[in-house]
Amino acid sequence: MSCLYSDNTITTVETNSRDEPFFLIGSGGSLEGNLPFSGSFLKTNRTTPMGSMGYKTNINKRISLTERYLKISDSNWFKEAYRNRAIGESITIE
Amino acid sequence: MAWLEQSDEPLTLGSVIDGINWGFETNPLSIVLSNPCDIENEKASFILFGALLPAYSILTSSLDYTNLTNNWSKSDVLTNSKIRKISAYFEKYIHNKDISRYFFIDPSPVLIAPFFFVDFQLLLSEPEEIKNKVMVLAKLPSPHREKMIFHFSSYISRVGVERFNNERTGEIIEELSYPFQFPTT
Repeated sequence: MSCLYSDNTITTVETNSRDEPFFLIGSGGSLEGNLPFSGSFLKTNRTTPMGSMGYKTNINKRISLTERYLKISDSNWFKEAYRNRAIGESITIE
Repeated sequence: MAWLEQSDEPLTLGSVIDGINWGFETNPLSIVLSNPCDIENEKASFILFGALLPAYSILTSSLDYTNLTNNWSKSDVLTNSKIRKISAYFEKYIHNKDISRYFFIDPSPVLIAPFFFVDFQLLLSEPEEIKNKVMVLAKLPSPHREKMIFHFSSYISRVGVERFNNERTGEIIEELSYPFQFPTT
């Protein structure tokens, strides 16, 4: 366990090798119901409904991006703009 | 589904950018929607950006999702029927099957962030000097970037037209349903 957020909701797990991926996992708490990072889990797939795998380069930038999108989802402008809207008219092409 | 790749190239169509001020307390990343030829040949006075927003939050706060999951309990394991319904709802978006307000992008493996939607209603145009002030984090590779811009142009050029009334629509559906029979009233 290498990084714990201030709200204790997201932790990163790093592997020993530089080339191996690490995994973003969640531990519930305030995130539950807001984003797919909830519950206790550690997945080995590249992308799962509960977490995404990344690579160790630029690890800090990538973690901050995730944190940013948690804030966007919970921000007033986002909630006001998207809550209970119809997804909208669409054109089926397939 | 469209996904991101690493990019060492200058800013162009499909570049994922950090550093655009959208005027929100927390600014999203941005994706370039301007024509690449205009940018490369310095014919772009302004560069058009679309906001990259968390797809999960948009999809699960929508009226469609609320209606779909209205009586579902969060503590229950989904039945096969419910899995089919929720998969159909999500797959329409994650594969970008329809041209709609949103274009789905998987940020992995380049970025660790929730899945993105480009929101074709949340746009910003900045003077072209902005390209020297922002950071290119990744790119949407071809042909996905071309598909995205096709969706964008089709979305903003939709035309509302009059539809058949319900009675005529029913008649057409019944005729097209042959040899299956509709109940007689």
